[in-house]
Amino acid sequence: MTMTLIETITVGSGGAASIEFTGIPGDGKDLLLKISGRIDNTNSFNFTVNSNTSSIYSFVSLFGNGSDPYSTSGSSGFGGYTTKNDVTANTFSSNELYFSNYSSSSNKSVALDGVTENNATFALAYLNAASIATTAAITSIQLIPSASQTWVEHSTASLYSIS
Amino acid sequence: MSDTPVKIVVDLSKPKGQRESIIELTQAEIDEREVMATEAEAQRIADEAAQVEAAATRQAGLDKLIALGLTEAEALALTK
Repeated sequence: MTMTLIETITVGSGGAASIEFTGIPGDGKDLLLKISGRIDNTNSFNFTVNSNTSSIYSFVSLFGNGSDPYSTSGSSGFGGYTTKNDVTANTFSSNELYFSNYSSSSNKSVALDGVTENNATFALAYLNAASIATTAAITSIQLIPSASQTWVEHSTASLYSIS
Repeated sequence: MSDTPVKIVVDLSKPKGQRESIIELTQAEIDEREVMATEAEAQRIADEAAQVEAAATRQAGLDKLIALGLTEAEALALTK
């Protein structure tokens, strides 16, 4: 197995309403996206592929937050949780999204995991299994804060090709 | 300077050094994000409900064990 860094995006001053990789080459087997993120005033983000915002996404998630674990499911392009901007300063979440067989003509599956960071009792750890009902090859990925907020400066997203 | 939110786009079909663009969102994209925000809020509420239900179920189970004669410490030990 070979893991090759394709590109890293670093959010600059002023933040960004979304982070997008386009023109993803189809020569790999899987894609791995690593995010170090922090978002203004919300702690979750969505992902979309190929800028497709229709109802092709579904997921199940397992959460731990310092008290009782719980699970949930849904039908959006839920991406995961990040550190919110009102918690400990200069802390960022760590997230991974693994897109299997991204250029195949089958529906796509995505495994996500992540932890938020906060110097307090509350912080989240989650596992998320997502499905994307599309037979199209994934050629772009959008990472969008889920409440019309912005990725703050110094957030990064790195895309790797697995072959 | 415009207050329109921007997105960072990296086009991997271009050579390194020429890939990154910072682009203002179109009104359609802003509207789309509003819809996503509404959906996310609904999901957040559902997640909170799931969390509350899990805690209530756990507590109900503990209460029943205690009613059977276990001490709270014994009941809690069974849930570890």
